[in-house]
Amino acid sequence: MTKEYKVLFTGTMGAGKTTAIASISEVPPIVTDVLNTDTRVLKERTTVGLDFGQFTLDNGDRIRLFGTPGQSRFDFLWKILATNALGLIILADNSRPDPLGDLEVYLHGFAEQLDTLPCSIGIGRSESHPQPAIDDYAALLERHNRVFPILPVDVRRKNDVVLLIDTLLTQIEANELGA
Amino acid sequence: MPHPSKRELRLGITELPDAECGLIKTMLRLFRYDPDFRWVYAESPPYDALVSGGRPVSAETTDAVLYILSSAEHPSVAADRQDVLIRPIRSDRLEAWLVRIDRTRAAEPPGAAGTAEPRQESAASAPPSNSAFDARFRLKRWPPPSLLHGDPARIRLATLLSRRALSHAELASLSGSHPDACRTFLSVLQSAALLVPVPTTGATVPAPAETGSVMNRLISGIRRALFS
Repeated sequence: MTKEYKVLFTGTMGAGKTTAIASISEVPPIVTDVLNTDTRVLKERTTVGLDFGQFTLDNGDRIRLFGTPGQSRFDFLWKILATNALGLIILADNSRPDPLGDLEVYLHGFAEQLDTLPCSIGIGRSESHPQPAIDDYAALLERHNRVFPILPVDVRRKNDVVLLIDTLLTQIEANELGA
Repeated sequence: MPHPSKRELRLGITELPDAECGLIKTMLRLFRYDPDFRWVYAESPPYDALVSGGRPVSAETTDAVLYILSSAEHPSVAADRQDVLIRPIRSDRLEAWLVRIDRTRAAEPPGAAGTAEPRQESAASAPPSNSAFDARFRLKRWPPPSLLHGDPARIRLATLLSRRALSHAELASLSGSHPDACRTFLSVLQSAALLVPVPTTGATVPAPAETGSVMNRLISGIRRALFS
């Protein structure tokens, strides 16, 4: 009997959740984009439901990849999706006006789950927008008493996304060793 | 004052990361520009003195031991202890210690000096009680890219340390990385003040092979799927 597990991607509009899922999904992601009516964001379409992709393991088990809606008004969905997830990847977009503030939204939104849920943070567009630096993100997490892997990521590159997921797996391994 | 016989004195190094071994060897070569400096690096015993990363050294090996420690591991160790050098390794302090040992050897009566007759380990040369070898550390903040170099092995080590406190031996066992690489990485993190020492409870973290759970098999399966 095959089993299903899930990995969650979250982040602001345009951070690349859909692209990240597409880079490792074995099927074209199911996307629930609609026309974006938020004029503050230069993006024609955005995810208001969720994105979905998956890949299959050699024993038949499936890893389902969910992308949450980016806007915080959908945070009730975040908690539902995070239930029983293997881990959470937060994608930050360094080209936005306040990426650190964006991250804080997700740290608060997933606060309860993050006490136990493995989490890694991918920083997108850091080559064109080097500030804030990775260390600025680390300092923010430290103020929240969190230590999560923080890696620069180009979500179009499969290897970058795989490395982020691998850090989730490493956290699960550490958790499995007990207290 | 140099030893009248001008016999070379043999310095051994143990339990130190490759980078620090290389640093000490380089310092020895530089010190040799002083014609009175008699120390040379020795790959194997007998030793006239030994530099150790923290593991207790048998009195039969040598009675002159310099322990290289980190202040985060041993906050209670007095920095002025003559047998302790707090990181980073400073050339002037290492040289001063070697010259002092040389003078001690020169002042000893014939037959007592050298490596032929090892003596009891003195209180002054005993290692600190909470040996660096046993200390566990946890990451208090994710390291900057300049320390990780985008290296997946280092990212894996840092990720493990972000989740639980580990000694360098446990880190090597869990990560599959070489113990020297783990020790070096811990030293790097410690130098950047990114580690928190955690008191040891005596229980060791089980090796990966001992934890063949459903979750571990799942993790292996995911890695096979993603990296294939």
